[in-house]
Amino acid sequence: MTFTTLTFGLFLALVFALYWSSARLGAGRRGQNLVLLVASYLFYGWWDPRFCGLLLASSVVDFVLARAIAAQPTPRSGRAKLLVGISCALNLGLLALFKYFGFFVASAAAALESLGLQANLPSLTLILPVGISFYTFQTLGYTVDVYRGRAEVCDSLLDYLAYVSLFPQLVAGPIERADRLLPQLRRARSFDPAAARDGARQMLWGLAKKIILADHLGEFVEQVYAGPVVHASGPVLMAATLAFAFQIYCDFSAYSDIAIGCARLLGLDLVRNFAHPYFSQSPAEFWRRWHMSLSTWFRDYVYVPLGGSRRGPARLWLALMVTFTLSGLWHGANWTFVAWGAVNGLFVGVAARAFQGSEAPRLGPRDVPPSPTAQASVGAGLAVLGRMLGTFALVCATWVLFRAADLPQAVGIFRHMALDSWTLRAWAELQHHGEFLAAFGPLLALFVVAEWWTRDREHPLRDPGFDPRGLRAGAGAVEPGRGLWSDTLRPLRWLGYTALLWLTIYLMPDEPGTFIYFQF
Amino acid sequence: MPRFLVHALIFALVQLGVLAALWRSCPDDPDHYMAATVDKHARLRASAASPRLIFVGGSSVGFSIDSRAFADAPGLELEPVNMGLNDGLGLAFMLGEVQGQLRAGDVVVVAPETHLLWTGSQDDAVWAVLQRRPASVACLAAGGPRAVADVADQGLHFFARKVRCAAHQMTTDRALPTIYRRSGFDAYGDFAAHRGLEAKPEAPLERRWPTPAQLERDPDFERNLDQLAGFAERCEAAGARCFLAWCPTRAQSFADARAVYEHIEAQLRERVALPMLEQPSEVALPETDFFDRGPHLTGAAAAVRSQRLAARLEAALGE
Repeated sequence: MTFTTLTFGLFLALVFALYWSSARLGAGRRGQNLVLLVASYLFYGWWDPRFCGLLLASSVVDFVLARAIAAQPTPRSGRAKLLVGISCALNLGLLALFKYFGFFVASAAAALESLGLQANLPSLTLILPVGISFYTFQTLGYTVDVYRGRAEVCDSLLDYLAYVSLFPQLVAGPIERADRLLPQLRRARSFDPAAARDGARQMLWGLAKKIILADHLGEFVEQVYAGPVVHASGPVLMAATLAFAFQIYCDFSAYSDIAIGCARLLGLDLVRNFAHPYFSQSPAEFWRRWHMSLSTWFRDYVYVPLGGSRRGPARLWLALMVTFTLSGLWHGANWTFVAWGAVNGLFVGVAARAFQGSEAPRLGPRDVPPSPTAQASVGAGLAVLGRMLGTFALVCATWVLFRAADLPQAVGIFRHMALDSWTLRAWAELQHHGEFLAAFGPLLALFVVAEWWTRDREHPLRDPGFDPRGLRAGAGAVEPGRGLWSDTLRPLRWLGYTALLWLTIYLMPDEPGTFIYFQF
Repeated sequence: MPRFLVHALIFALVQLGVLAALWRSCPDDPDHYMAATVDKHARLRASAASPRLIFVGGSSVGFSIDSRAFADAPGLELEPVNMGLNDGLGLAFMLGEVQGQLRAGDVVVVAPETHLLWTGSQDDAVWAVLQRRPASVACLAAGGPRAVADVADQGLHFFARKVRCAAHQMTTDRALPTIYRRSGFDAYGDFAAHRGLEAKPEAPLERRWPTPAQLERDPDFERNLDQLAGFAERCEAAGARCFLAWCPTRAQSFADARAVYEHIEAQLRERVALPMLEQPSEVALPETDFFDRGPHLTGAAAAVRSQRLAARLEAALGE
């Protein structure tokens, strides 16, 4: 049951009705959380009911371990350390078993074979449960936070299970921290019309991004990148890589938009996951704006414990490279992802050294950095634009590693880009994709303009002045004041939503594309 | 909340209005390929003088069975009804179309496209059929709630095509020249419009085949085998006899996927226990025997294959 299906639409309508009815009938937070829990397990079991057992087991183990950690008379005692170690081992073991076992065995076999040794290593065929990378990180983060005293231990199994399995973010994030989401689930929620409206709009924006751009860009990318041998010319590969950069952004940020919008309809505020990453002016800034919930997770549980930037340059490099390489591996059991992570670590480190003093290589935001604003002078504006384009070019280069089927293909693509881009014939090959580029080039340009124009907001359809942060504290979102935008222009806005909705339906591809991050 | 709900309702009504306008601008084509389902069901339900020989499958059955070979076979005395229409309907739907209509003495030949053994309904085929014959909604029951949900999801894509069709209708008023129409079917339900035509020089439709290991743990494969086994039991209970046949395939594709075919054949023999009228290798045919990019035999190849099948069926019924 993916977000772009009619089944999900009907499911959400039913959950919405039951959830808010339970609140009206006085069932309180228990009733609401029970509805969420049942709905979430139904949503997850839709893929394969067997996955639910794994999710439940993983959740219950961490619930019990966290309670045991909190029950220790001395914080961070040896016994507490042992318990948090067990949690790490179990969660990472689960990931290793389901996601990486085959990869490591195959890699070890290949390495032995290259040494002339015939290895008969054990093989295990397991289905990768959807979303396992996300919820294991969520539960692991919870036990570590309880150990560190950063999150209160949850004494209600119902609340905790609802937190781990919350269906909008269960399968592909955002990865929610216990200290942010659990308090919201531990009190009864009341309906907030401003938040619900904003949620519905964010969902519409996400759907449009996914269907109009991501799915269609994906078809072009697949044509060019399909097959292990690189046939396309350098310019075509560059165009496909550029298309992939927007495909993955529109795909994943669309998922996050729909998840956040969906939660907002239920009166919950999920963490922001993307903050216009392609307007970043350095690789480090890019990582503060891209998949922010994962970046902050790695920052808090890997980078900082490894010493971060506090123990000298050598330790900083070690922390950076380990963090980024692990982040790459998290994305998938393939050497391309490992290389992608390592190259990103390198870029972040080198860029930080090159611009030393201006910015330390932080991973993930405490606060999202402000978007670039209009500069005082033309020269400064051009400098900002240059930094943005430079960063974007570096990011696109790393996407080649991410998208390629294997490292030889990635090397072939880089070689073609470098060597086969200097002739007219190479550029003329773009004509074969002229129809696609003519149709979707302007749409993409329009999308970039819309993002730039509304870069001070979480999504372009948000009312200026709306602020959802009050939801977290149970105080309700700040509604924009009545005025031109909210009242007078309503028919015009509705016309805009209607046009966007029908354009989305019109451009819906025959073969619906799944969300890229489902595979992770 | 009431204000929010009222706004949501008004917004939904506006969209319904747009939908109605679009629907009206793309009127239903009575000669649409999928409208042949109406004729096929009418024939299935018509009282026949002799027991029926019902063919079940997708378009490969429609194109690659020549019912005349069975109608003319002196030893068969069966009235052919070819239900083959489109593989996008999925196996459960195809079986559901027939299983409520079985009579004692009927003979059923099930020859689904091979990939239907591990996939469900696809595209928006079911919606296209339901638009033409709403009563077919009952056929969805055979697939269970998940199949119904899958069909609901395909509705969005059917709907998207409808919107595109409306846009096309508004900008041009030109019918596409095609033989794939309701009128292309003959009285038996065979697709006959391609008989005598030159084969189209089109690249074959490529499908990604699973490995035997993937099939072994594929819940859809399990489910489809169970459905076939259940259908066999219903046939027996109704006093009808049921046989399996294979979907024609390109020789090269068959060679590439031979291991999968062997696995499927073994599973069918073990789990479904329906007699097979032919071996997969017998329908692994040269490219020249295919009419277009699908598993659709030319008229001549369909006649040869049907005569062979008719002889096998005659022998099997005589046992």
